[in-house]
Amino acid sequence: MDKITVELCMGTTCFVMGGSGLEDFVNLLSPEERCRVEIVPSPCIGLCKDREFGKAPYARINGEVVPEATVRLLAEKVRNCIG
Amino acid sequence: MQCQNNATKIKREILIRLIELFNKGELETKTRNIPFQMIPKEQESMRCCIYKDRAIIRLRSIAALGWAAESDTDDSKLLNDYAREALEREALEGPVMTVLDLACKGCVNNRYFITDVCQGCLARPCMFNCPKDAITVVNGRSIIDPDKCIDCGKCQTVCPYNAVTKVSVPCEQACPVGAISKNKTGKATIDFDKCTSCGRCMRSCPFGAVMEKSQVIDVARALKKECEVVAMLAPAIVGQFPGSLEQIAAGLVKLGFDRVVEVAQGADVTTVKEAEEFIERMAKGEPFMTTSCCPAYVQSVKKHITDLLPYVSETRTPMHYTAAAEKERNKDCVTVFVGPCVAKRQEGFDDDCVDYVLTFEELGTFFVANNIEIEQLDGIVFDSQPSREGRGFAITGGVAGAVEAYAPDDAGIKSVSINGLSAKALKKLQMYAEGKLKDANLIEVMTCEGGCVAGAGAMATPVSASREVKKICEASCSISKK
Repeated sequence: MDKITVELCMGTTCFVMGGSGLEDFVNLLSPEERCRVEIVPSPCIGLCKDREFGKAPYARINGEVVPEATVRLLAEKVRNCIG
Repeated sequence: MQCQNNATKIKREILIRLIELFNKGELETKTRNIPFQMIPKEQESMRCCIYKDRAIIRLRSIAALGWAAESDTDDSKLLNDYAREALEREALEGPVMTVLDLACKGCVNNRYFITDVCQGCLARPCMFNCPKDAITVVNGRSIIDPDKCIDCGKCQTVCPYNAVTKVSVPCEQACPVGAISKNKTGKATIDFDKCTSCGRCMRSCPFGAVMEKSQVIDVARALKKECEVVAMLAPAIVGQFPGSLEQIAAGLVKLGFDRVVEVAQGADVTTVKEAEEFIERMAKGEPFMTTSCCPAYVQSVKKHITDLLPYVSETRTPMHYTAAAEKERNKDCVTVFVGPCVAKRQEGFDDDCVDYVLTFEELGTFFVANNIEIEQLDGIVFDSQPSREGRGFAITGGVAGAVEAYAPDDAGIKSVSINGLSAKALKKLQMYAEGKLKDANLIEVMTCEGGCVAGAGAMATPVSASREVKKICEASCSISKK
């Protein structure tokens, strides 16, 4: 089965606005769900630059941008991908 | 409460905006727009209406500019005026913490409450076990008479349906020394004769109603001046930002700091002096000694457990030794401590060698406002390498561990760590002072559970932060000569 790629933005803005610790979202997943996930730290995605601080931290799940990412939101989105 | 939440995000956004305005030279003219930009007309209000939201953003901005929210008695005073005064002031003054009365929800008093889950059972263990006869059954449901209840919590432990819940005031609950309480109007106020500036109320308030007075503007001003500005990085900094310690240091240089040093250097001085002081005190026949690096703990002793005062080591903190060394090298340099701690700002006010104190959170907002991507920078090389133990001061057990590693084996150290200063821990310390507890002769006290990595001004989770601190410790050389 294909892995679900979760890119976490490691840019300073995302990190400061709540991105640190986002990788913990895997703790909300079951062991089976967890092995489907691949976490990739990403350099700044560049979306914060248009002055939208409120929208950071960003993540990307299989290429789809997730603004205002939280551990819960990421876990939910990953589950949706698994179906 | 987790450090990542909406209240901290709002605070960080304000700091970022202020630094950006400062950089553009528009602080005096455009600060007043911040509440309107952050809470635009079309936005759904978080409280009763956007006007209250804006009024609270205004108060947050006042604190972020370094002023006490309590001092804002004139609503019509513009943020621009506060900004101008911040640009003109000589120095910031204590106390560090400030309460935003408008943001305070005025939570209901701490009390036990019986919820709908109550089944009105036949056994009624709540009623039978209540020592004060405070519980009666009305319409098939138990209710507590608040006048009789003494908050013992018995009913909660005996209820088979878990129907009893405790409603708490988070700030009061979090404060280990009873310094924050509700005033006549039900809003929180801090008694600064009791407050140790640990910052727990700030971290715990779900409405973000407690803030620290920030020094970001003062530091931004210092960076613009001609003088040499030195950043002193607390050992807890690794893991607080993406990138290595060397890259973080490079980020500071990009911000305009002329020199970056590790406070772990000063920690090594503390270790040596602390070990010497320990041996000296034991030779004099003293029963024990406690560490003194944690400023909130030292404040707690001064204000709440004075019996312990003679046993607190007189060795100064790593921040002091680091700053003193910098001032000796260049007496005109400006020293900026960068750490996870709010209480350090108070310590900085009282220490002539320390000019400013920034938290990691505030440093993060500097990075964002100046578009600095830490991960993309080439790391700088530090002049010297502090020891493994000095870098380990950031984690509970680190300070005592360093003294043990340095002191000779025959020093007879038996150490214990007080990991997190709670009301219970204060009682335990009192017992040491009275000679009722004798299981150790070196007591390390950390106000924050987990150590400095869990400080109120930290950004990363304590777990991930300690992981990174441990990694860098393992890669460093030991101070031990054994």
